Amino acid sequence: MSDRSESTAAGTPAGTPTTSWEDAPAFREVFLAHFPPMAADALREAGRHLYDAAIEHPVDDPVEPWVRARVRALAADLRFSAQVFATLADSRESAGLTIEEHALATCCQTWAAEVVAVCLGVEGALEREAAP
Amino acid sequence: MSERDVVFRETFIRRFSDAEERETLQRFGALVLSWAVSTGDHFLEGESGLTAGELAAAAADLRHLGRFLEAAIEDVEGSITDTADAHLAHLARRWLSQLDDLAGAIEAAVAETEAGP
Repeated sequence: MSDRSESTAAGTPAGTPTTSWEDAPAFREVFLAHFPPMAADALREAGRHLYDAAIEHPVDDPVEPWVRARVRALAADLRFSAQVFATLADSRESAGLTIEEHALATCCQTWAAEVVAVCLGVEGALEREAAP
Repeated sequence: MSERDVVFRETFIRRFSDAEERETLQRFGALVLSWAVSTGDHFLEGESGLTAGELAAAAADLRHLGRFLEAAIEDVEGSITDTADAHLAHLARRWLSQLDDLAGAIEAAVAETEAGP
């Protein structure tokens, strides 16, 4: 396990990049964004304990090598991220957006497409590896 | 986007090989999410406007995936015996670069928006 940064008294707002993926292994930041910073910190900590407990639990009969299993999980998370950006892009239709928010929402459409492009690359590589 | 998928990362859920355990976690996640949105933001349902904070969270999730990928590459470097895995590790470096570039672009746009005109 890597060194983990200590929380501040005010907590770490969702969306603050972490230095190691093990700092926030369980909960998505888009979920933690629903909580105030101190609560988000508490959930990150709980997520670290859940992850630590999970890795103590051996995987039964892995169906594929660990590298490929991790890449497959990555692809699924990329699909989810693309959906998040697409949803944020849809907010362009919402009334009450500021000019800056509308500009960001427009960018989200591009970012969703870019995440999909990476995801298709990942999924394509997995398919090619699986082909006989 | 299903509520079941919003809470836990797939890179976490797939640590559990038992389908019933995964199902339990995802149902628990959906329950916690329903509590959270009943008292907070609803941006994932598209019911409110876009905020820089929401976008920063989405960018942080991309950063997380980049760090996850980086750790996966480091774990297998020097110990790959499977040529298919070696090829995947090579491709993973390219994906890592793409994810970092994308997250950087989003973070810059968010910072520019927060700085104002």
